[in-house]
Amino acid sequence: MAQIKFDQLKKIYEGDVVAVQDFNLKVDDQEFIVLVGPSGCGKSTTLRMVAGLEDITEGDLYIDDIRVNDVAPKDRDIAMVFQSYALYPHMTVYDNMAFSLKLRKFPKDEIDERVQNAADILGLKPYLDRKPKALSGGQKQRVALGRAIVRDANVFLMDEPLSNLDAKLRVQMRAEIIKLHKRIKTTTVYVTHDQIEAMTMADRIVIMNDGFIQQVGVPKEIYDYPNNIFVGGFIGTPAMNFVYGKYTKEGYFESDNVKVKVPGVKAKLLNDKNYGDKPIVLGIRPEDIHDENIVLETYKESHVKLKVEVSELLGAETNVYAKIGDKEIVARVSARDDIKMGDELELAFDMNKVHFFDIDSEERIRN
Amino acid sequence: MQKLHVHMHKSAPHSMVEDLLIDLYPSVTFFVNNGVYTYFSIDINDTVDLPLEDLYNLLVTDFEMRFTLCYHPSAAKNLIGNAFSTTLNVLPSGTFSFEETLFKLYKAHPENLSTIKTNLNSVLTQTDNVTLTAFGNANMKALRAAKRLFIHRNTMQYRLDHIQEMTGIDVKTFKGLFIIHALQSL
Repeated sequence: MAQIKFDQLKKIYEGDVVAVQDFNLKVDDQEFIVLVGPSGCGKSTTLRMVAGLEDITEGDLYIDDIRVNDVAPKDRDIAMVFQSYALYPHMTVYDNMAFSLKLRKFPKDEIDERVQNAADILGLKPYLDRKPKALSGGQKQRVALGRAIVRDANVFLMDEPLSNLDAKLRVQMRAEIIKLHKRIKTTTVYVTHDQIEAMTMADRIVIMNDGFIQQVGVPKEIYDYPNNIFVGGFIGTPAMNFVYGKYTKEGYFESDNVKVKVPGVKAKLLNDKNYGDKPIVLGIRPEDIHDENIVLETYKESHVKLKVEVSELLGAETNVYAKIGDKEIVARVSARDDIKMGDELELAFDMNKVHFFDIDSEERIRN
Repeated sequence: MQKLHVHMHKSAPHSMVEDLLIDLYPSVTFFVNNGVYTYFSIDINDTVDLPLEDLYNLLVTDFEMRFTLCYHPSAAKNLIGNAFSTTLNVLPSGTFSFEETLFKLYKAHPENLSTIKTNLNSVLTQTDNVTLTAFGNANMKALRAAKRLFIHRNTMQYRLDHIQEMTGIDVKTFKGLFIIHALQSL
């Protein structure tokens, strides 16, 4: 079991491409931490620095309070799982899992015990004599996990391990990895670009963009209180809506055909921070835009009239796409209402759930 | 035949990596091992079951050390000679095509490419050079380059393919054309 501490970590590639900078983070023992962000945001580079596959340009990396910047990968006691669930095609499942232990000259009976134990955890016992080509994608991925488990390492690093699987299998494997973590409790750093994986699996999420950490927090906190426009827009499907407009000193938010009342506490905050009569960005999640009569009656001063451009029926709910000015917004409403393209709708913003962002810094305005 | 250069740390168990590769690829022939660098020749058809990126992932997870894998077509040997045995250590851990390898070496230490430059100059003929210049000047548009040289467009394609056959560099890609010009202007 291990803690990992990143202190001002920085990575510059040749040709001065800055991949990661100002990376500060403490991963607790037994924690499952997910690094998430768009392609090229530096998450895989960070993982490779922990594994020792990349040099650290600046800053310090500690595993269990020991500085490991210059420690060889094999002395870091880390096991990795990659996206491609690579297996040796010429070896059986058993040998694939046993290989790294054989290299380390483990005694035969211990190898057998560890492989059998891992196979048991992963439900691979019936397949131990098969070659990889006789396995399904999900089974291969489990063997790849098994290769990491047998090592009994201090830290697991997983680099997009589910990206190669089809949608259904991915959901299944997601649950399996969580169960596995609950059982073996190894500190895990998991990299993905899939925000649903991040939300469902993580103890804490680290959101990255352009080499910087944007926010660190438990999934609910990240969803409910995004630090900035990037985080708000990245987490959640459909993404948070952003309406560019102006906050008036009288306590209203105005934009094109929208005029909504800002509730007292938020209005006070905006006044205190001198946003009166200044441009500002309003962020609202699709599920906080309502069409139910009861809500419309409650929030009389936060109505918006919209013309439906696209309506997607998802079964339990409908995503309604419309435009405010030239910006698209989406509302998630109950599927009981039959909404068609071209319909005029009156919707209400749940103003207690909205966030306001500074238009220049894109940071959330808060106390 | 696909050639594979494997660069690993001095302390790596070289013989174990070699044994593994011999088991994996029936066609593998093994040429050089100078303690940090090993050079294999593999039939490309052998690699179908295991892409080189996967091989890299397996080596890294099992041996737990950095590996640099560079692969290229046989023809590239005309340029490389023994140059990679001393230069690959500047590359990061990962898997790289021939063009990427040259590109990274060029960015890190262009002076290390002098042998490759000399070999390139001896492989390319006057006609090859004229073809490359015209192709570059025509913004990599083969038809336009062919018109300027008063040759048929198939002849142009043939000549570009011929350059790849002689050097291993695919000059129809931006990186390939760039690196061949960069080598010539060193």
